[in-house]
Amino acid sequence: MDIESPVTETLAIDMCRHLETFAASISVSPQVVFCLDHALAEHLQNLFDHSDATLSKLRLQSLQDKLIITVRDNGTPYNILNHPPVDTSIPFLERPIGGLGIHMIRKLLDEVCYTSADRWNTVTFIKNNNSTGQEVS
Amino acid sequence: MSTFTHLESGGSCEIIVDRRIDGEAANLLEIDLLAITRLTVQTVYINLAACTFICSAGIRVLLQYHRNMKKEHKSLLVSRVSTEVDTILELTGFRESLLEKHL
Repeated sequence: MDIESPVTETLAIDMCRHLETFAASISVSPQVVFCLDHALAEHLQNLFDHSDATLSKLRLQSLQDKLIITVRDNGTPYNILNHPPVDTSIPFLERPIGGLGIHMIRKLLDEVCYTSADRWNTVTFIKNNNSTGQEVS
Repeated sequence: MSTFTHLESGGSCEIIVDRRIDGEAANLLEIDLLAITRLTVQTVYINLAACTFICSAGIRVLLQYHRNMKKEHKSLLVSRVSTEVDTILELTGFRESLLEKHL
């Protein structure tokens, strides 16, 4: 499934609905949908909030035992894999609140890839259909 | 998302939130909390039993108001959670701090 959409305030909600529709059309566990739903929402919200992107392209694929989401955008290049990890060992009241979205993406998915070329950023999220999540390093 | 606020005697208040806390819903939750904390409420309980999605912005709202109220010797706690929200609180490391202790 391929969807192209302008980057607006409702982008994350709209695309997550497409993900749910896609997942319902194939055999995917609710746990996998839960993980991808959160990761996709966090990434698209970051695009709207921080990237200056005007256009996004979403591809949803089911290959073998994996569900793959590819998001392309024309915003400011930013490799989410370079974002400093959240240190959850810092005492609660002292811990910085920022970076939670990318932290959630790393924790919920099995693989995350980022590339930037020809003014387009591409982020790929991969979730194994039989996994419950593991941290992406 | 919709919220239902129930003021109780003894200075406590429960806000019941359903469906998804994402995007604009996180802003709406913050508006509700801002209004509640302006009242003479000592403890705010957030009931997330019917909430199946919470984004990082939603967690930030809960954390911010938890911290603000603590400075004023008040408290904000999550009283009930769905399995989905519990998973997110656990992986972000905020479960023990935000959840009401008897759970």
